[in-house]
This record gives sequence, structure tokens and C-alpha cells, in this order.
Amino acid sequence: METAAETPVMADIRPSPLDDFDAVVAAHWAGVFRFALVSLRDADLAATVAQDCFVRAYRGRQRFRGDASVRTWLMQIAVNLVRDAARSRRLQFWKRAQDASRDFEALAATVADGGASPEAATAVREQLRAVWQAVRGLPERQRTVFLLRFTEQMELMEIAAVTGMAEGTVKVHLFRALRAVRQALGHESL
Amino acid sequence: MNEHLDSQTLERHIAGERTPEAENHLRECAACRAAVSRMEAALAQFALSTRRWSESQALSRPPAGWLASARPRRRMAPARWAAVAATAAVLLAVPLYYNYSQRQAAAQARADAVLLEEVSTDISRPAPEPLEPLIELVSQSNTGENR
Repeated sequence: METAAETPVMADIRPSPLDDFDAVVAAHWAGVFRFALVSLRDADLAATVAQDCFVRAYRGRQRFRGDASVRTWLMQIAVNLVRDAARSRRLQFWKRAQDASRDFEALAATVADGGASPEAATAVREQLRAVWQAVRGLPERQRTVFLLRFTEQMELMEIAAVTGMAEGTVKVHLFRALRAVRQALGHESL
Repeated sequence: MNEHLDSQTLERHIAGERTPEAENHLRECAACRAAVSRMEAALAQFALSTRRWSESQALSRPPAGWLASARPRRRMAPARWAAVAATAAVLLAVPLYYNYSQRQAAAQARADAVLLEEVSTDISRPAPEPLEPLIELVSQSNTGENR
């Protein structure tokens, strides 16, 4: 049986999921980069955010207690960095958005042209454009919650942990974001 | 069957908050089922487009070796500092001591040389210095007798 005197020693030698940090970077870089890219629509800025995120995580790895998953912990850092980056570079935002929309045109074609008829491909492309525009127009918190739910496939509780919001608040932001997207798609009435 | 699901219930269902009532309604209502499917398909396409856009970027993978350069250098432990200081002190002390002993040896050699010279001078005299006037007197008296 474990005694009180043994417990701290055992805790100190317990392996952490952050021991192999290169493996952590390899496993989570894509998710952090994607979230930053879609939020900021600037690949260089997204890469900077991803690098900062992992550097901060590495330097603060002693504080990781394992209460949440590594992904939750990393995304928590990423959400804060994305918010700071968006605020500090707001003036350049529209230029980046225009550059990104050119990228997106080519991209939408690859998603829409997956063996569908030209009419169906056009419909999918229009639908995608509507969703992207709606997401771009969302307030910051709604957009963050929407992206974490639908691009990173996070559960509501995990989103609450990542954003530091109460679960009820997360739901409110998510429902509002979904409503805006449905309206943009013209789906709001049956 | 009841009326169609309202927008709020549909949005809650799509967001992942599913109630038995909504599930039951969707099983029976083709129009609501189609509305949910259309929205879920649009969201899936959006997720796929974000994934493809991200993967098409050169920076979607970490640049090789960046983490190694980002890692801060480890601070030297106090014991290691003490060891380094002790080694430096020894390395500094050895030439100083060597220099000191060289100078000591040279001074000793000079003193020895002076002493040897004095001894040599003393030996070359026929009598010790205090007796020299007496010897001179004796030699003068000897010269007078010979005359």
C-alpha cells in the first residue's frame, strides 16, 4: 500500500506525456497551425503563432499537471495567441483576407470537384463560400467556438476548458454562430 | 406528429446537444432530417476545406530543427560553477607558483655567487684580512735584516 511519505516521490518520477516534446510537436502542430490559419487567414502569422504556442508549452511544461489533455492545454495557449495576434495586427487584416480569398478560390474547387456534376460542384462551391463568409463575419468568441467545434471536432466541455468560458456560455456562442451560418446558407426555414 | 423542429432545437441538435424529443421527431420527420443533413454536409465540407487549405501550406509541418534552436540553454548548476572556478584557480596558480619559484631560485643563485666570490677572495689572501698589517710588518723587518 502506498504511504503518504512515498506519494510525492512517486509523483515526481511519473512519466509525463510531455517528456518526448518532439513527439508532442509532431502530433499537434497541424491542429494548432490549422486553427491559427483559419482564424487569422495568414500562413506566416499562423506559423508564428504555432511556434510561439509550442515554445511557451515547452517552457511551461513543468506546470502541466495532466488535468486536461495535451491537446486541450496546447489549444488553450493557441487561442490566447490567436486573439493577441488578431488584435495587434487588425489594420492589416483586410489585406490578408483578400490574399487568403484567392487561396480559397483554388481550394474550394478541389473540395467541390470530388467527382460531382458541374452543377453540383457549383452548388457546393457556393455553399462553401457562404460558410466561409459567415464565419469571417462572426464575432471573435463565436468564431473561436465554432472553429473548435466544427474544424477541430472538440466536445463542448473541451471547448469550455480551452476558452475558459462556462459550458453554458460556449453553447450560447455556438448556437448563435450556427444560426448565422444557417442564415448565410439560406437554411433557416424548413 | 408535431410541427417541425424550431430553429433553436435544430441548431442545438447540430451543435451536439441532443434530446430524446428531437431524436424521436427526426426519426419521423423527413423534412427536419433533410434540414439537419444539409447543414451537417455543409459543415463537413467546411471542415474538409480548412484541412485541405492548411495542408496545402508549406508551414503546415514544423520547420526542421526549429524546436532545438528554440530550447533555452540550460543554466549551470552552482556545483558546476564551483568546479569551474576551482579549475580556473588551479590553472592560474600553477604558472604563478612556477614563476615565483623561478625567481626564488635565481635570487638564491645570485646570493650563492656573491658568497663564492667572497670566499674565493678570502682564500686568495695569504692571511686573514685583520692580520694583513702584521704580515706586512714582518715582511718589512725581514727585508731589513737581509740588507
